[in-house]
Amino acid sequence: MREKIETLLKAFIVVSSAVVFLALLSSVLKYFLPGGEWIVSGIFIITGTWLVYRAMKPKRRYFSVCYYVNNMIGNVMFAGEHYTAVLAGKIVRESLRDDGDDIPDDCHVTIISCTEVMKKDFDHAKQQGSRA
Amino acid sequence: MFTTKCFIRMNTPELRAKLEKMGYQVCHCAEGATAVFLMAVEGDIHAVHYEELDIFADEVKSGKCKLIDCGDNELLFLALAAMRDDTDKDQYFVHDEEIHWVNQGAYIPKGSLFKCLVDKYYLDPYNTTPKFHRATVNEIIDYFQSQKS
Repeated sequence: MREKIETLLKAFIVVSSAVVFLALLSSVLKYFLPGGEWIVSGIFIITGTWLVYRAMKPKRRYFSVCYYVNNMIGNVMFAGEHYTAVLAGKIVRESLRDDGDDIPDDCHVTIISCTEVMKKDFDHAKQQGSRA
Repeated sequence: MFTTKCFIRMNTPELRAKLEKMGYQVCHCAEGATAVFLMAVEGDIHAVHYEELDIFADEVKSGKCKLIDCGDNELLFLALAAMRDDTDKDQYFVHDEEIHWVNQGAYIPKGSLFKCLVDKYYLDPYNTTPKFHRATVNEIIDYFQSQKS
């Protein structure tokens, strides 16, 4: 509950600051550049579009999946909008095939665990070139 | 560092590529047309040539050759050649207890081998993962020989 109130307060502060900033900008422009309201409207449209786009665009999430398949235990990381066991199974098979293992499509993949990780951990693991 | 010396009674470009990928230095001697057997020795791959076969066979028979004979079992050779002491990747482990993940439809009997594909495979602090130990040379040989028969 406390986190929700904190987030709500933060959102209120951000919106209030933006409104005050734009009102100030509008006054300054009116003073120095009479008839320049279109600039303020333009800024409103651009900023609003960007904020709505940020809120609406699909969120990229990062997952670390530990699996058991064909007497092998391994780990694979992938990025996507969501996690499902079917998707993870498909990614595990593709990862093993990339490494030269012959894994048929109907081979059962046991997902031992799936953890959501931070982007920096994902990037670090990719840099290390690990399959885990 | 690779720990197990062994040889296989075959030599193919695919096998050499797999060994190279594993981290072995494949000697040029293994690429010749007369190179019939491959030996994995301390990170290097060398070949036994057709003209040396009799001497090599005598050394194997007399026990002078300390390399493990994998016959023509490629999986066994790769499993033994992969054994090293600085990583868990591509190493075989043995389940010390039965695993029955009912929700996953998975049953793994005690004593079965599995291959680890990650660098470090360890018990978690809460000790929730099943017990296992690193497979010995004899366990690997038994496993692959039983798979073949």
